Parts: sequence; structure tokens; C-alpha cells
Amino acid sequence: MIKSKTDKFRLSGLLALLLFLIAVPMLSSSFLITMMIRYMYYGLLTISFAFLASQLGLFSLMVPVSLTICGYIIGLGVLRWNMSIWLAILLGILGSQLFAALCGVMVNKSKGISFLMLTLVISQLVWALSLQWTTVTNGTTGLLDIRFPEYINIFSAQPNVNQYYWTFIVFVLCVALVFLLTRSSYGLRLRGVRDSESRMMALGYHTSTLKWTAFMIANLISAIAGVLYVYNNGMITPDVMTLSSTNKSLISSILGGAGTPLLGSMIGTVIYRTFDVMLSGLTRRYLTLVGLLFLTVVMILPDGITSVAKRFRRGKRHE
Amino acid sequence: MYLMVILNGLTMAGYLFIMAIGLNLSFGLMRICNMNHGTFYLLGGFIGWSVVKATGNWWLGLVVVAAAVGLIAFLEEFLLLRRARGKTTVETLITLSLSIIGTDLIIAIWTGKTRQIDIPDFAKGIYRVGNYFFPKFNVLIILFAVAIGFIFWLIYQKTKIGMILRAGVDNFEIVATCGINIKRLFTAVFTVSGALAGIAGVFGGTYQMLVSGQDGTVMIYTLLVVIIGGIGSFGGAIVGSIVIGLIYTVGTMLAPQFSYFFLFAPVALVLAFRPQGLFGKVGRIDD
Amino acid sequence: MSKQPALVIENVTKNFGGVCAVDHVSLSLDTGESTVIIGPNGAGKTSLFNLITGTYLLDEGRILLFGEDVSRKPVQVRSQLSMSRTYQTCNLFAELTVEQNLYLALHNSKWRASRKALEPFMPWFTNRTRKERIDEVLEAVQLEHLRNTQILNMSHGEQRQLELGIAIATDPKIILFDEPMAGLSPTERVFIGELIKKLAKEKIILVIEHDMEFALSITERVAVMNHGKLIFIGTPDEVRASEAVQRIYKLD
Repeated sequence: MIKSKTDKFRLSGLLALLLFLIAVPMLSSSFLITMMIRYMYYGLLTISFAFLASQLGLFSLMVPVSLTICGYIIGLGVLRWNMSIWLAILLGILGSQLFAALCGVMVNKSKGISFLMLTLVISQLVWALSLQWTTVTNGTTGLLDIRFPEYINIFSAQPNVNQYYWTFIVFVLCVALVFLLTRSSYGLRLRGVRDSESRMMALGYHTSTLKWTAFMIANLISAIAGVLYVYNNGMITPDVMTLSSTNKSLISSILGGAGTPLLGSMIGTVIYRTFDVMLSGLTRRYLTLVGLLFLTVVMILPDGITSVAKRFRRGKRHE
Repeated sequence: MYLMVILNGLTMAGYLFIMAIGLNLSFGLMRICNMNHGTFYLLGGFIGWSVVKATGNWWLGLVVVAAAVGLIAFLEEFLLLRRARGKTTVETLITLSLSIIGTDLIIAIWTGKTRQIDIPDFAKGIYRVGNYFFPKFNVLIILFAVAIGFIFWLIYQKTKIGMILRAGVDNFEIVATCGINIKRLFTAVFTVSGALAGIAGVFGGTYQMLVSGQDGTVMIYTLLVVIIGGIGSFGGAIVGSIVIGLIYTVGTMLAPQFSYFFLFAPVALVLAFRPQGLFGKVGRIDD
Repeated sequence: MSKQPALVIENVTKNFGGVCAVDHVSLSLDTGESTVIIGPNGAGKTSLFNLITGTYLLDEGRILLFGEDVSRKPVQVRSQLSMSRTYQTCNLFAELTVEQNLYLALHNSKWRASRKALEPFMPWFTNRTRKERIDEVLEAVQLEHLRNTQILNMSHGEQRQLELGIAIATDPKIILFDEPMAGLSPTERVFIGELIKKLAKEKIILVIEHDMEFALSITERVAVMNHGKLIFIGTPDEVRASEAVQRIYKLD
């Protein structure tokens, strides 16, 4: 398997990173743990966006839709219908996937900016529902106090350490799934559709099926991020569905480089979320700064921060 | 009662239509989904509010807004969008980042308080027809929208530029072979589209409140208009804005809780049965 | 049982908003009947290709592939009936490597692995049988040295060669070439020209070509199109002698 020095280097880097992530709770800084948890579930959201962007070249502005639907179904299931949390999670994922399946059929034919626009409209629809359907969603208050059973706290006596490890396990599984998919022949086909859909059709591929399944996978990841969100925050509010929340995953992804669905997404998410926390404490005009940062990245490094490393490496090779 | 609701619906349709012309131009011709079109609207509204408050002259406000927002749109196109020409996603991301900045700066400058532009004296009061009352200002907005629509219809149908604009929406290569300076054409189109959004903001801001954060909703309404009508279609913009205006006002009256949600029902229907919009042509936007 | 020709085009018509791009064209092709289509710009040659492959749906007439009526069938179904095509402007997977391009081209063919259900989840580079076929194709179009190069880093001529490679990858019975020589340098023309001439003998090919001299040297059957109509079919010598053809090309 291991072919070259770079592969060895990468593998050891990955192992070191995993060890560090496992060891984080032992540093016993609750701020660090909170931030790491956040990086992970928001990271999944960014990955959901970047998966479609990198593999199919489609920019979806409805990234948090599945997160929201899944979160609300879990909340309703536990609080209103008194079901077990596990059944609620199952229903949440199924429900959000059902909605995604319908949307997928609708947005499938469009590409480029039309896709962007249609997904924006869908995301606004879900936001409007979560905000205005107060009898079900509780309006701006949202659904609060969604608790997970005590018996899953098997790692430590501290609740946040348990939260950290469970989030970490789910996160790693999702990342592994996306990694395998992008390396598989399925991922290659998606990139084929991205580069030339007409050619793929002429070669006999059912491109709409390919696009639809990829759309479903992206939404599944978002729904899983929703489970993690509810698990870690104990609540779901319309805030997760606002335009600026969509923008955040988009900015994170562009910042890291939309071409690399995993590494770029995570680097972008870490940078952006750290910025978010630091700046919002410093100045009230932090959105302007975020916008300027975003604008600069888009203008100067349209391929994101990871592209700098790539360019550097390429430059070295030519020497 | 119902007549009043319809009048309100048409009033909203009026300024949505002015917005939609601009969005249609930039979307249909330049293939940019201008995410800060709503920001232009809100900016226009607030600039108009300041000017009207300082001078008391509503028409002056309208002119200043058209010039100021047009200038900003010009700068945006000239300094930023031009450098990313051809890369539609990058262009859209630029407009998105500007909408984030713009929204925040509007709050910084105008403190985020809710404002409303004073209705000018000549448009105060109501017309009375039998037992029905029509606020003069509503009628003014509708008339103004019709006038702008008529002017654009003339431009589209009778001038060379209009012919190029129509052809450009269908087939971009044609424009390139017409011997037209595309760079200048795009700058002009984007400037006009921005100025129109600003003007719509003055109308909307006089008719309703100016609320920070409204840029997003207005943006979405306009998008819905364009989607229903069909991208780049002039007739579609008229029908789309009337549909959205009426549904919004009727929806607000019947079930205020779902006013926003109601808007999406016709869009879903249109998308399910005519994905290209009511008046759109198949396979037009395929970048 | 009388054998049907491989490809039959009957009275095929296509209108684009009042303009008749292809006007009641009939043509049949079978083994040993490889044909070159010539004609001025806008004569409807590429539109005819798009109708055959299913990119456009026809307004009138019908198309038979190996005896099966495919007039209403989508692109995917038609391409699985042993037909492939090249494009006028290179239509490759720009960000993928040459090897990956060919891998995608070998979909739904005998080089596809047997473990169908699992295959989408297998790493794309593990498939042995396809790998061997890719080697063969790379050798045929002389691109072995560029195996792991991204398309966007290749010259126009190399991209043309790969277009050809993708077209022959599945070893189809019918190949449609849309101006395979466009924009090539003289040396590249020689290589691709030889390749096409060789293919013309082994397979059924339909070629659109602008260059008269080259076009008339590929096959023994030439079709001339103008204003959407098929106006002449004959041998190269007949075409040279035909007054109607001369007139079109003088006007051009």
C-alpha cells in the first residue's frame, strides 16, 4: 500500500493528528474541548458543502437544511412525541433524507448559478418554516432541553469529555466515508460529470442518478452534523438555518480550498470558527472583517489556503 | 377589503418588478447571481431616508439614490467583478462577500434602527372612487413601475442595445460577434441594475419600513420573481412580480404566520412542472 | 433473415426555432461503407451527429441502430449499442489524468469488472482488466508517456489523440468523428490521419471533415451536406466532378 516517502510522511502525520485528537480531553481545558467539538460538527457541515463542490462542481447554499430538519425531528420526537432518542435520531436522518431526495429531483437539472439559486430558495423556505411555524417549532426560541440518556457516558465522569469522544467517533467515521468515496470509482465518475456531463452521457453513464446520489450523500453528512449539534447543544433553533449560517460553511470551505473536500474543509473551518470567536469578542463590526477576509481570499486565492501549499510543493518539484 | 389587498399586492409587485428587471439583466446577460442585489435595495432605502430627512425633497432623494447606488454598483463591477469575468462562481462569491460587508456597514452607519421615509406631500392622502379608497402613494409606485417597465420595453424592442441584450440572454456568442464592447456593456448593465435596485429601495422604504436584515428577504422575493418568470424574461418578470406580490399580501391577510412560506408554494409548482420558469426557454443558462 | 444495416437514418429532420438545421436526411451505413461528410459551415453536419447520438431529439424521421429503433432513446442507451463519438472541440475530463479519462470511457463494456455491486466503492485504480485495455489504447494513440498527466496540462494535439483514444476504447462497431483534424499541426495530422484511415477499414466510421483533400482520401464514400440537406453521395472522384459540389465550395 505505502508506495513512497510522501505517503509514509502523510500516514505518520495522520497518526500524529489522531493521537493528538484522542489526547485533547487530557489537556483538560474545557475551552479547547468546546472549540474542538465545534470544529468537528461545523467541519462536517463544511465537508458536506465541499463534497458537492469538489466532486460535482456544484455550490449548494442549502447545506444546513438537513441539519435543521434532522435536529427539529429529533427535538419533536423526544419532547413532543416522547419517543426514545435513538428512534428520534433514526427518524430525523430518514426525514431529512426524504426531503433531500425531493429537493434533489428538483435541483438535479440545474447547474452552475441556477443550482446555487435554487438551493438558496430551498434553504430560505426551511428557515421560514422553522421560524414561522411556531406551533410546532416554537419560533425563535426553538426546541430546548433535548437530553441524551446518561448511560452513554462511558468515557469519563465529565460530560464534556463524553461529548467530545462521541463526537470524535462519529466525525472520524464520516470523514472516512467521504475519503473512501472520493477515492473510489464512484468519486471518479462524479468528477467526470463535473468536468463534462455531456461526455459522461455519451459514454453511457446515467449522470442524473450520479448527481442525485451525491446530493443525498452530502445531505446525509449534514444530517449527521445535525445529530451532533443537538447532542452537544441540547437544542435546535432557527439560527442554524439563517443565510449567514449557510455563508459560514461556504466561507470555511472557500477559505480552505473547495477543491479538497477533507483537508481544506477542516483547515478552513478551524480558521474561520476561531476567527469567529476571537473577532466577535473584539469588535462589533466583525462581520465586515469576515466579509473582507472572504473577499480577499476569493480575489487572491480562489482555490483556498491549501492551494498555497500545493503551489509551494509544485514549485519545489520544478527546481 | 379585497380590493385594498389587491392594491397592496400590486404595490409590492411594483417595486419587486423594478428589482427584478435589474436582477434579470445581471443574471440573464452576465450570468451572475448577484447576491448583493438586496443590499442595493436596503442601501438605496437608507440613503434615500437620509437625503429626504436632510432636504425634505423626496424626488431629490430618488435621484441621489439612483446616482449613489449606481456608482457603487459601477465600482463593484469595475474594480472586482471584471477581474473574475467568466468564472461565474467566483463572481457570485464576490457579490456574496459584498453583501455580508454591506449588510454590516448599513447597520454601522444607520444604527440598525427601523426607519421609514416620509411620504412626499404630493402623494399623501387618498383617492376616493365610490366607496373605495386608494392611498395616493400606492398608485404612484404602480404607475412608476409601469413607466419603468414601458421604458425598458421600448429599449428592448426598439433599440440596437435592446436587441443585443435580448440576444445575449439567449446566446452569448452572438453578442461577442456584434462588435460590441462587452466589458463596457457589462459595466453599464450592472450599474443600471444597481441604480434600479436603489430606486426600488426608496419606494419600498417609503411604502414600508426599512429594517436591517431586510436585504436578505427582498433578495429572496426578487429571486422568486425571477425563478417564476424565467431567467432573463421580461414578460416573466412582470407576471412573476404580480404573482409574488399578490400571494404575499393575500397570504399575510389569511395566515400571517405563514406569509413567507406561502411564497414558496407557487415556486415549487413552477419548478416541478416548468423548471425553466413560466416564460423561460429551455437550456438557456448552461454555463 | 435479411440483415439490417448497422446504422439507418431515415428522413431525419430537426428544427431550431424556425431554422431547419437538418432537413429530411436519409443515409445508411454498414460494414465497408465508412463515409465522410463534407459541407460548408452551418450545413447541419454536427447537428446530424447530435441527432444520431441522441444529444438532440429529432422532430421527424427515425434512426435505427443494428435494427433497433432508437429515435426516442436517450444518449446513454444509444452509446451502449456499440457506438462512440468524438467532439469538434475537445470534450475531455479536464482535471482528470489521461488514465482516468480512459477508465471512465470503459464503462459498460466487456472490460468492466464482474463484481458489479461492489464496484462503485472500489478504488478506481485496482481494476486489472480495465488497466490492460487502457495500456492497449494508450499504445494505439501513442500517449503512454502522458498516462498520469492532467488533461489541462496537455497540448491541443495530445488532447485530440486522447479524444480518439476514448472513442476507440470500448472497441465499438460504429465511430463518429467530428472534425478530428481541427487545429492540428502537420505532423499531428499525419499521425491522426493514418489512424483514421486504418479505422475506416476495420470499423464503420462516419467522419465530418472540412479539409477537402484529406476528406476525399479517407474513404470511398463521400456525402455532401448543405443547408441541412444531403445533396450528394458518391465516390471521391464523383464528388470532384460534381458541379453542385463545386458550386457550394466556390460560394464558400
